[in-house]
Amino acid sequence: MAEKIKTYVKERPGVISKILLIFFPFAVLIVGLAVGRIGIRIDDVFGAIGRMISGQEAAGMNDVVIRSMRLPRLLLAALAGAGLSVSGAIFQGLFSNPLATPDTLGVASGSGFGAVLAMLIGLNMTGIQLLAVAFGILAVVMTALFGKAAPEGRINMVLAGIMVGSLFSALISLVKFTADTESQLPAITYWLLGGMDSAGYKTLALGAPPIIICLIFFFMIRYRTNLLPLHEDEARSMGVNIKKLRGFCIVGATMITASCVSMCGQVGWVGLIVPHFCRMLFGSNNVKLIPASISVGAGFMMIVDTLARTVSPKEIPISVLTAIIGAPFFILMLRKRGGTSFN
Amino acid sequence: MRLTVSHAYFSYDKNGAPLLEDISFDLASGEKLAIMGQNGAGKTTLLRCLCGFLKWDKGTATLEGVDISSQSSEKLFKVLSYVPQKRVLPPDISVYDMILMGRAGNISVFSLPGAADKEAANKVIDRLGLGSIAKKSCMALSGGQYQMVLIARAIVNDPKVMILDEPESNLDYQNQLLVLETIDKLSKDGITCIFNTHFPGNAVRWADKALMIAMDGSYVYDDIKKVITEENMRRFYGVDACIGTINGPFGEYTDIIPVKRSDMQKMATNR
Repeated sequence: MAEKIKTYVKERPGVISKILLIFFPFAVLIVGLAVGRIGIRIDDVFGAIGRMISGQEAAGMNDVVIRSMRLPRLLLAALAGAGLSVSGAIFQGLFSNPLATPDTLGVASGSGFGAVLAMLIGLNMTGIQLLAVAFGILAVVMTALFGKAAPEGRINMVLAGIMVGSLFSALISLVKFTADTESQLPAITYWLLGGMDSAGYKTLALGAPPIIICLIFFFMIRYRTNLLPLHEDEARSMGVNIKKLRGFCIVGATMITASCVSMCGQVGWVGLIVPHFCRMLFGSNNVKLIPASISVGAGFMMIVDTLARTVSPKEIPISVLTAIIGAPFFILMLRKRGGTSFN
Repeated sequence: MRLTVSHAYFSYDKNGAPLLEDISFDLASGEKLAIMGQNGAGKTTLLRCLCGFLKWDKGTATLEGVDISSQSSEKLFKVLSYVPQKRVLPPDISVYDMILMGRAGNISVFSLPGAADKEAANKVIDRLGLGSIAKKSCMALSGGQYQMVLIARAIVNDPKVMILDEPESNLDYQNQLLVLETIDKLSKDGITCIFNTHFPGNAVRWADKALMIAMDGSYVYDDIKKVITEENMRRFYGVDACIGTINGPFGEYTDIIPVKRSDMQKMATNR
């Protein structure tokens, strides 16, 4: 008879949390479509979606508002929220640092500089996105090179990231300084505050694919990403090529960040709040953390965007809202649950 | 599994004098080797070379006649395992997940751990008696418990050789004994164990053989009792030591007491 092995940890299938995680962003989406300056009844929202999916013409004002204004905006918010949350979770693993976010690496500032530079020289949306991605990757490469030059890697990597980030912030200021004060400066300043109002299907067609591809990639390799915080020798001793894994993860997380920045400006906090919130609920294992970050990130950002365009007659910049909602919420969670830590 | 190192050299500065010079030793299945020497003598470097993390400048290390450096890390780390020094703070994942992580090399990039992986993890938890802490976060563990988890993770693939970097450092007496008894148990199951230690007393009790490295790259390798002598303590550690046998209620044990820095060492420091 084969020896019976006791099972010490029964992994719960977590059916209810899975259903909730899938359901949550869709519920927020429906509410977001209904709420706004023009209130639309929920059943009209479903009707409009039905007509859209079946390819029928827009029937009335409500359909037009949903199709051409609210839906692309909410889709952008969902993508940016999911993307920034996952790239935050990945960066936190990569640097074994709970404070690592796209900003820590200088990626957000690098992408931001690329985007404002493109605005300064009058490029169109494609140009803005391309330059944002290019400078995001340049920033991460600079951070990696500077961080590597000093011995005992990862701490210095974060310091190098902060340095690169401030360099690009300075360059952004320089661009603002040289920008035309009548037309370009207000546009650049407003864009830097972050917002979903650039949303349209054209923007999405360009910016969404890199985010979606990277999200699928991170979802597929989510178990392997648990190894990211390990010491290099430790990871190698499990027969895993950790350098390659780290490289892919840096590029993927950077692509996501740059695409988000190019579409909706610098939206801070999301990459910090959402992964930590999910860790407190679902634990630090990326098998659960990555899908949870996608769902909660998407839902959170759609809520924030809906608030941004409804709470006051004038639209509130989204990064202002993420900080106002995020900071107290985060402190509350830390106090309540004793916080999470990471390596 | 026989581990043989022959005429191996290593230096970080390829133009300077080698840190490890002409190292040769040979271990049979289930033997325990203690690697000893002062800080900076090259103990950890030797371990890292054995794992293939660093490449020998000259010479070879072989497992059953097969060169370690010629093997892919996937293949090598199925028979050889490495227990790192626990100097970083443990991550906030459960003991079970940490042990399961040892199977990562068997799990393809796009998959999740399967039934066989989970069974292997549960088996190891059983083997080392970690059932009561299996659900705890690694962060909530004591130093000794975390060291046991690292050992558990290392044996989840049933290795034949285990390399441990200072397994009993920074632990109290109870936990030192827990870790050393575990190493002893695993070696009785046929796993060859190589470990670094700063405690000659632990080495003399728990190891079969010792390799003592001096700062100048020279070394001695022999049966533990032959290596741990007053003369070698002076030569390799720069201390005058008393080595003696203590008779107690539990039997007869050898211990080493470092008494003072040797005169030669004092002269070198004062210069």
